[in-house]
Amino acid sequence: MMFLFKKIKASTLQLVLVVAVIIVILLFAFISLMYYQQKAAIKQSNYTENIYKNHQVYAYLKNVDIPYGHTDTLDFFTNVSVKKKQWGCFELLSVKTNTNKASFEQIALMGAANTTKNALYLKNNNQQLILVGNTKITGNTALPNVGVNSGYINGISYAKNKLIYGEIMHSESKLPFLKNKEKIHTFLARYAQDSIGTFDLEDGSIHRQSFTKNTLVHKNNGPIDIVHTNLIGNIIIASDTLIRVHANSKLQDVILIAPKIEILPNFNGNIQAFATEKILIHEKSQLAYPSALILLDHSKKSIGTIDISKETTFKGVLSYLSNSDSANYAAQIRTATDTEIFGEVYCEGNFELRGQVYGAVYTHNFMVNHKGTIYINHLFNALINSEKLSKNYAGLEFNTPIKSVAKWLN
Amino acid sequence: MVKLVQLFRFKIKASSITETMVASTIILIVFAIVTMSLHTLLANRVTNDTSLIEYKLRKLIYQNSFEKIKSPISIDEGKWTIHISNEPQKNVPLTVFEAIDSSSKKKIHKQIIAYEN
Repeated sequence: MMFLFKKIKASTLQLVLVVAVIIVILLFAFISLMYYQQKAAIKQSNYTENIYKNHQVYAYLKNVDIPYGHTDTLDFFTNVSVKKKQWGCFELLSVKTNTNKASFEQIALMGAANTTKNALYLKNNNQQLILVGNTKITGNTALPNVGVNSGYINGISYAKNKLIYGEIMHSESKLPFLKNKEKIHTFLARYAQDSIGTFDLEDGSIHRQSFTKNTLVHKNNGPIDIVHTNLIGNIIIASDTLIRVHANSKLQDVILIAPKIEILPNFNGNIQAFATEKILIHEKSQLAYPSALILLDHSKKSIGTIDISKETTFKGVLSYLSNSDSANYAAQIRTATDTEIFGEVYCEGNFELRGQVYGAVYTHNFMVNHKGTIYINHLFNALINSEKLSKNYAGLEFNTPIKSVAKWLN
Repeated sequence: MVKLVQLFRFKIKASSITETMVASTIILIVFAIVTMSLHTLLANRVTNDTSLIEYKLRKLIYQNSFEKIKSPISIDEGKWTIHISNEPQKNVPLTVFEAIDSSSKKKIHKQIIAYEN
């Protein structure tokens, strides 16, 4: 019993305790390292799962239509919230997926997938399509009952030995119904009612707005000149007279709304323009995909025009929409020589095609104005080739319910 | 030896047998606890590790998206068995990938929407 109260000089014991403490600390460090590693691995797997699910939702929504606005419940998916709204000619789809507190959001512009591979749809106006010069049409075509023939303009004849390089079908007296038309009308009527913010446009300013935030709108009575300005993203510029875009400006994904819209030479960007009277693209401009030039002509005499000057490259949707049936001898869409259009042209009027279209053309009439003489339903040195359009192209919506991503946004 | 002692600058005094025994018991217990806990942790980690089979599944899903796999099919992957089958629901073509562990009956289930483009 005595030895319990006797002081023992602890030397080995002390050392052992020190060693034990060190080992316990090491063990604790190792356990916490493993714990955090596991935590990071779970976080990473949640994240990949989220991205994966997001892609799946897009794959699903390409084939299934959902209403505009918020959707929180989708078949086959849980913890998904989808927002859909119209952005000009295209649909803006924002998909947010959640897995165990981690979330992932992606936004995309969606258009209808290009499944038909049509090159030309010419309304059945009981007039032959006449091909002259170096014209070449490659792809499936729908033509009036009276068909297609070669002809002369100013002594120049048709240079190829075959008329259409593709299948020929009969067209109807109406162009295929364009679903976008109504959507564009509602978009233009309603964009101002959505939750928006306003901003002042000054020369030399930079505005960048994410599509996850509210739309920024600049509205002005009187002409707007966009000079030396960077506008990127979720931005709408509207004027009641004229918008003029100078080449030193940089515009991306932006929407322009005005009766008259003018793009000055050498401009390079990506815009959607909605006009009621005139759209003029000056020479050597580059409009990147997915752009849209839409002219909504409310006049009874079809006086609106879309003019694309030479050496311009345009990728996207070009359309002239009108409700009037009055035919006149002016071209409503005019593309000059050496213009390249990648995408679709939908013209409820006369189309003077002097350049190249890689994609599809839907028109009431063709026309050529050569040295003061007007030739109806002629194509002079024009090229239409639907096979050179990318199969990932997404654009105008006809009967096909299948959608495709036009552009990923942020 | 003198130099070595001077180098470490401390001396361990000889201790009693009781002390030595207590000390060695303590150190043994500490080592035993550490080894056991590390063993359980690592063993747990190895048995719960599904990264390899998930990688395999992802590879199969990728191959499936390019129509390199004719489903339905069952694939043996070590102790895992992968079943791939087409189960369309509500006009949506679904392909189901299911990996089952033969010993622990653990299941990994993935559902893929596979529209033909």
